[in-house]
Parts: sequence; structure tokens; C-alpha cells
Amino acid sequence: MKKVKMYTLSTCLWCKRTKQFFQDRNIPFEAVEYDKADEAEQERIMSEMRSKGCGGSFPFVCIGSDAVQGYDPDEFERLLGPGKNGK
Amino acid sequence: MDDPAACVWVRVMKATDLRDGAPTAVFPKGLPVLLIRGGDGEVRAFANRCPHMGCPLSRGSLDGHILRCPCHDWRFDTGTGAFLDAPEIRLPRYELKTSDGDIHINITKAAA
Amino acid sequence: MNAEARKKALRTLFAPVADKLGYKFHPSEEDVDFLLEAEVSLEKRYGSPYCPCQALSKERAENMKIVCPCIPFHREHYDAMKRCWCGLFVHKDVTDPSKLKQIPPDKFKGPGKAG
Repeated sequence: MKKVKMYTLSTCLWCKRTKQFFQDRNIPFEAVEYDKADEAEQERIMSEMRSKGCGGSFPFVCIGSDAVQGYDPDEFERLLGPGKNGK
Repeated sequence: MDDPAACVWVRVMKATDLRDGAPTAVFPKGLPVLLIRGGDGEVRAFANRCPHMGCPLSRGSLDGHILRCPCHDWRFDTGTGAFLDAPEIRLPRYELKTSDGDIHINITKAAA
Repeated sequence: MNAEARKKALRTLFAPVADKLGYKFHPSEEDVDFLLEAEVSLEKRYGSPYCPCQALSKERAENMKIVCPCIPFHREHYDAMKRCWCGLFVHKDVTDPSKLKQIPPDKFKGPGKAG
């Protein structure tokens, strides 16, 4: 299964829905809340997002080596591909 | 014809007391009004309340014909009152006249 | 002012601004309440009701572009999505907001950016 990692904001509705999407499918993920991180971590996250051509809009989801900015269930499904439910 | 009751002119200050480049707050009958002398020398009266969150624009900064709100930097054209980033939003403007060296504002009519 | 009163105040302040820009509050009361609550907490902490779904930077000029309603500063992008990024506002002609998608800012090609 592809590794799922996401950067979120604790205040963001679509970050919440993104987490819910993966939880509903029993897909494990790692989530870091940008606004709760310390300054050094925030700088690291922002430079990682910028390296993928993304700015400061959340959520930011990495599925394998691909990145998705925003809540996009169709794109999440596509990138997860077959066997996404751990089957 | 205008209803006379709907036309209330209130004297606010001497025209010579209004400094160039200084947005000035006046309160005819308690109404927050902004007086500003444009680059063309004409004095205009607008609502002294940013349409965004109500901040007093008289505390903003003036750069040429652009007035910047002190709260969130919304910028307005001091000639038309238009918000530069979305001209459909503009400061309501009040009629103004000068007589005997005094500035008077019609506080009942604001053109949006 | 408590959080509930401030949420109500923000709603009153933002409604006419959004209306003039061609937008309305999202039809879901639950979503609007969540987002306004987030804005009230951001305002309490940082001084302004920033977008709950965009990160603050160290640059004031950048941060001012994400104070709600931030539609004027992202007009073409939001008009293309028919919603703002956090979804507090949708275009007035939207009847089914569930069909609206977030288009990443870098993927959006406005008229001036096409090609």
C-alpha cells in the first residue's frame, strides 16, 4: 500500500474531511498539523510544499510520491489505486 | 423633488482647517464621516467606515490618491471611493458643499 | 465579546461584502458555524479572522490577502471554483455545493495565466 502523509491545519474543515476520508477506508496515514508545529518544523513543511509547486493552502496530501493540494476524493482514490483498502 | 426632510445639511468645519493629505474624521449629528482632499484639490466626504469590518478609515494612511485602511490594508480610491481590488465595493459618498468658507455635508444622502 | 456573539458579528459584517462580490454563505449551517468558529479563534490569537485553511506567513502583505472574506484577492481562482478556498462562501448561483471542488492555486490557470 502507498504511504499516505498529510499536512493539515487544526482550523481547516477540509483537512478534517480529508482525514475522515482515509479513516473511513481504514487507510493508515501520518498527519502533521502545521499550525501546531514549531517554527523550524513549519519552515520545513512549507519548503516541502513549495518544492511540489504548492503554496500555503491546506490540506496537502502525499500519496506515495504524488502530492494533492485540497480535498479531492476522486484524486485520492485514483492515486491510491487498486488494493487501496489493504486487500 | 427631494423631500426637504430628507436633506439635512450640517456644517462640519472650516474649509481652511482641512489639511492636504490628512484624512479627517468629522461627526455631523454623530455620523462618522471622512473628509479628504483629493489630488485634484476637491474635498470629498465618504462614510468613515471600512466596508470590510468597519474600521475608521480616517486612521488609515494616504499615498497619493490611495487611502489604505489601518486594519487590513484594504485600499480605496479617494476620488471615487472604489475599493481597488473589487470596484463593486465602494465607500458611500455624501454630498458636500462649501459656503462662507465652511464645509457642509448632507448627512441624509449617501450614494453607494 | 464571547465566541458566539463574535461569530454572529462576523456573519453580519461579511454578508454584504460577499453579496456585492456575487457570493453567499455556504448553505450548510454546520459548515458555516465550524468555519466562523475557526475564524473567531484565529482572530483572538492573531488579531484578524484569517482563512482557516490557509497558512499565515511572516509577511503582513501576504497575510492581509487571506483575511476573510479574501475573495477580492483571489477572484479569478475562486470564481473558477465557484467557492472560496475554505468554502465559507459559494457563488450565488450554486445550488449543490457538494459538486464543487478545490482547485489547487498552482493548477488554476486564470485568463491572464493561460498558455
